[in-house]
Amino acid sequence: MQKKMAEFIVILTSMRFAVSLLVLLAIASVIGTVLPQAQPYTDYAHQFGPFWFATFNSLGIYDVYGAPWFLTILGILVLSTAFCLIRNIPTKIMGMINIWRDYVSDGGKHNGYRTSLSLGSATAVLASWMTAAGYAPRVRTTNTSASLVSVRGRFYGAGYILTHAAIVIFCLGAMYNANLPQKWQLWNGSIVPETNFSEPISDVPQVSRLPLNNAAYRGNVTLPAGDSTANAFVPSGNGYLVQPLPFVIHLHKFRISYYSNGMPKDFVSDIYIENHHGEVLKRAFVRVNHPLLYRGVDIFQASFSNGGTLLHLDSHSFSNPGATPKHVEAQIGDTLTVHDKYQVKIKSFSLRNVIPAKAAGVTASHSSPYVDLGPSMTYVVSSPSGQEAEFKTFVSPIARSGQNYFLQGVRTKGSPSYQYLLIPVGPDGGINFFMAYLTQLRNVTANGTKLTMQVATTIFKKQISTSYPSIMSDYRQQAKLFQSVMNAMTQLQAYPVPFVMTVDGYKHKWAAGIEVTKWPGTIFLYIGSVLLVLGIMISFYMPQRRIMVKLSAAGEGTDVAITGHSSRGGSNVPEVIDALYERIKTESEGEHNE
Amino acid sequence: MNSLHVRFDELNNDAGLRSSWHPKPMDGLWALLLTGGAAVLLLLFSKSFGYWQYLILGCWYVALLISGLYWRPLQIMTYVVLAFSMVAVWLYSIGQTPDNNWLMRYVLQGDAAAMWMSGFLLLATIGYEIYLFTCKSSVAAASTALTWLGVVMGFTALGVRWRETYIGHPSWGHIPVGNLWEVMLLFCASTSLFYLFYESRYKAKALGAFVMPLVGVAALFFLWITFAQHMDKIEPLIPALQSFWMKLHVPMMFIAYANFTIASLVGFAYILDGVSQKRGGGLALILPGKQVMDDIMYSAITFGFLLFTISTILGAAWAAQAWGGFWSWDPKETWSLIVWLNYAGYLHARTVKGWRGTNMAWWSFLSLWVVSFCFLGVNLFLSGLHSYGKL
Ligand code: HEM
Repeated sequence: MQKKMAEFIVILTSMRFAVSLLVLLAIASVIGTVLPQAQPYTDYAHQFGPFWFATFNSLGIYDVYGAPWFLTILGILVLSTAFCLIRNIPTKIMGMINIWRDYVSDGGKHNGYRTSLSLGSATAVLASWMTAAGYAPRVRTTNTSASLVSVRGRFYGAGYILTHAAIVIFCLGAMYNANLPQKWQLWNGSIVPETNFSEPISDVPQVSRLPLNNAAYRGNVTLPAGDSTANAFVPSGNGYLVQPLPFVIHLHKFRISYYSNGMPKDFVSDIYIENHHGEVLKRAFVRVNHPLLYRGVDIFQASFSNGGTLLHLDSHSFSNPGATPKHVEAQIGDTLTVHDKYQVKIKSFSLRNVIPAKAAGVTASHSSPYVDLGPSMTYVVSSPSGQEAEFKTFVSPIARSGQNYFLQGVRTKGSPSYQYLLIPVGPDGGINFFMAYLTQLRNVTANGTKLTMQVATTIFKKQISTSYPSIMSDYRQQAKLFQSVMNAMTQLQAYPVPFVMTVDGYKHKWAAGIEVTKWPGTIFLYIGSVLLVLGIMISFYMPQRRIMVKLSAAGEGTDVAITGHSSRGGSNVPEVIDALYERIKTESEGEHNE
Repeated sequence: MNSLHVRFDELNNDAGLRSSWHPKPMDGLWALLLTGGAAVLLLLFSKSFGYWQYLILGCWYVALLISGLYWRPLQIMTYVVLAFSMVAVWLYSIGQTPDNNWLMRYVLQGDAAAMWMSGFLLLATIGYEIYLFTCKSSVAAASTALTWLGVVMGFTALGVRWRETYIGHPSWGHIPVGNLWEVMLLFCASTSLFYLFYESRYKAKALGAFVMPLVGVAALFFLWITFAQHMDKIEPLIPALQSFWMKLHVPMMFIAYANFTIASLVGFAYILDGVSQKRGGGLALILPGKQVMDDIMYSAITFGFLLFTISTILGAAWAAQAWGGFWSWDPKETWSLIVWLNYAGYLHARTVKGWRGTNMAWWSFLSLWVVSFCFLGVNLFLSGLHSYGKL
């Protein structure tokens, strides 16, 4: 039994085994970079079909780095390193303490030499030659013997200890952070992830809840501005677990700031940490790269999303332009039926639309070549016949050569970019002027009057006098407006749906994606890192070279044995040994010849 | 007897055994100028310095000082690069721009200097190949000079671009290692610089014929992303990248890449050297010898490994701040782990098992694929948190 154990440890600590493990780990790691990890399971099922989906699932391929077999390889690697360390520490430490210790020589093929020199003079000459070769020795003598030892890089052994200890410490820290007991509970079923993502948190069953004093966790929560939470969600397999927090996080505000070219510059969550009675304990601005550490829990700004923006919309019908616009309130993601059987799905709302001024057709200000067209809403309309098109409505009008326009983009399925419909706006900033004019035209033509240019201009003039009196005397402005109205009417003929949505007002609201971690094992990671780097430096840049000469008096002469050892190839230790032998031989012969 | 004395002295020259370093007057100037430079930076910016900026400045100061003392040509290069960059910065400060100043337009602005770098490095590549076949030492000297010019222009380009990121929109400013264009520039310049170091240390000019072609290919790729992809456009940094960690993490990564790349191509030379010896070809005569090549490979890999380790750790510490986790197994992280394991394996085999020779040269050579995948493959083929350098 004991013998088996010993054999096992020999294998476990063998170099070959360690290298195999490293290679295995490297190969296993590749899997997770090729297959996107932790996607919704339905995606995988779709990709692989039922059989392979189930097979891969049982192998844990969708979360390779958390799979039991992967962790087992890691675990064995750590064990192997640890045992190796334990086995070698004593020799390494002895090697550092006791430089006189014997060791296995790699210094060449010599078996020693008997010189005719006396012990004293042999010792002296060898010492001086060693010094000349850069190996100044320490000398120990007795009446009948002497030892000369030169050790460079005496603490080389510490390199080994530090690097390997670092790996072990590292993995212990990481294991602590990974909360292994919890992994075990998941595995044996005493914790079960909840898979219903739309359920209110109070309905999540107890088996899906983690203890408040959980040792380590990494969770996240989406928090709309103005809301509070005392829980985070820990993604787990196909679902999530609920992690109660030791405090309440209240998101007071969320703010994004931008560069002049429209790229986001900063995401800031203005949060209050409160106790369970609503008392504020701390206020902090959590930004990317600037987390908040509070009572052992790190709070990060991770992402952001819509937090329930409320839109006031008007739908204007072109087929009945005289009708009052239909007013609706909607949130992003809602689907409305606003015009007969047309379905309108509110897709997104963005506060800013920064584009190069050139592209917008407006003159750039001198400070920036970009302009912000302001907020916009996109919506998708499906017609009763099943056609789909996407629309983009800008909240505020844009100015182009002295005339303001309401801007509405249209993109039919498959086309990459928007076509813009430009409706001139009247004094109210809306499209009412245009709609009223359309109504008048329609009324006139409904009476049987033929629509000539003259009719169109007369009605236009009348329309100006009733709803745009401020430009009554400005003929250039009127001409411009008339031209724009005519253009818009032409554009309308290619417009795919008989209505347009405008945004009358909005209440914008962000939600911040906040990540919460508790990782007390982290200090070990830092210690491990420092040790690792120190160890590598010592290993590479303080290599050890030893040369040891043992002399013992043998009658008139002296027996000389030179051994040497270097921790790194490319050293000259073997040559120095050869040269020392060579030298002592010539010296003795010289003495004979005299 | 005298001959033996000579031998001992030669033995004494073993690199790393005892340094044969002696101070020279130029070293004093170097220390003085670096210290002065650091002092000026402190005077100008210490108001906006946090504790980390001091640390980073300290790291750069010590690293430059030691490298310059260890390898003096670096001192001269630094002076030239500084002079060029400062002229450009000064010209910008007095209202000269590439539009109204031809020197800026054709030489000193970041883009132009980078083009000069590419040109010089491509010429140097050709020069080294010619040297390999003609063995003319004048050709070798010219190739080395061209490489130096390329390096100088490359680092000048980086320096000037650093300033340019602030021009027009001060809030955009950042150290130029934030997108693929900038890191390719850094890669070309630093790989060439380290190649020059090994060339001068080991007097091994023929290795340029093996190392520089890869730099040449990188330079061509760089030209392609400039002209076909317009990646030289200056853009501000996304919030995740706005961190002092970037100033350490990325440059260190690229010093590591440079060394790994050199080790790999020297490995290739080593393999061909073996083939040539078997066939009685002439290649072995011009290459510096197996012992030297083995030594270069080992030195480059150990240095690369040290920096790679530090930089990966810094990356993890950064990730802990930016993404809330040290290690997210994102493809870049995973591949850098694979690179690390690979070289850890190499070093174990060499130091523990004592492996040498052609097998190890193959190992070093093939590692280039792993390294390149980590550097470029991940950006081009996989997506993840590190997708900053996307095409
Ligand atoms: C978890 C630890 C990390 C590891 C192991 C790691 C590894 C690497 C490696 C191997 C490179 C190679 C250079 C390249 O191909 O470009 C790299 C580059 C880079 N890393 Fe990291 N990294 C880590 C964390 C981070 C973090 C947190 C950030 C910032 C949010 C970051 C930002 C960058 C940038 C900007 C580059 C150069 C980008 C480029 O490819 O254009 N890294 N990293």
